[in-house]
Amino acid sequence: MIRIRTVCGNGIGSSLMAANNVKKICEELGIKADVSSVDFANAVGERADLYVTIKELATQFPASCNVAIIRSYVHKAKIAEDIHDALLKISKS
Amino acid sequence: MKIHFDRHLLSLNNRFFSPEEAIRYAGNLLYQAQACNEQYIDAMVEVYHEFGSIIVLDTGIAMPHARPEKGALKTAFSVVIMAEPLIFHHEDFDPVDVVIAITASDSDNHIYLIQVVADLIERNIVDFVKNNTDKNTIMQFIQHSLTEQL
Repeated sequence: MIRIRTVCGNGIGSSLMAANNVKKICEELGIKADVSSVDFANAVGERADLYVTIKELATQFPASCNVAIIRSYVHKAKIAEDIHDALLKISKS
Repeated sequence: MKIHFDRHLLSLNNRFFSPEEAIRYAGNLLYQAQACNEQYIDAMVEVYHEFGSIIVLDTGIAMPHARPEKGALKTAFSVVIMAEPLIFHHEDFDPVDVVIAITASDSDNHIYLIQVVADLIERNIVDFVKNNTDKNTIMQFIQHSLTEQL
């Protein structure tokens, strides 16, 4: 099962909204995933297969992390567009 | 699930000089409703100073919040609507017309609360308050999301 973490400043607000959306997107694509939200400070330690966050935070991740940039934490359709390629890539590997 | 929201937590026609002032005002509504203590308001402002405009979630809408252990007492939210949109310096979603401050006393309620806010955004609260200025009408709009997510 792939491990996905949505990331915002403190892990309880916007990233939680995004996590709800990412869960639904994975279900729709038939991808089994463990999805939850985390604050930026603890994100890297989670060793996720994929991090999902906005560009302001994405640039602060180490290069070794696999990060997909979303435009919005809220809009499921936009998130689905933004993470689609990254999701398919990791679910195949 | 019990989410506290009533007319006292909805404020229309506001003018602020800064995002911080708007966050404090929205936080104070929660404080008046005994939904959080004063430290929680400071904590929301700190989150804004630390992470900046990322509390702006979508076009015209900001959601100030802090961790429950910073002084959340109830699960509640306040809705503050601007008479003049306010600049939060978000690249894509500025200016802000609606500020929704949230506080949650435990994680289950928190998840539910977040879903209510997401529903308000999906139902386009920002456009709604631009076209409707009557307090009762806006209350009904918000109540709809509260019952929908139960």
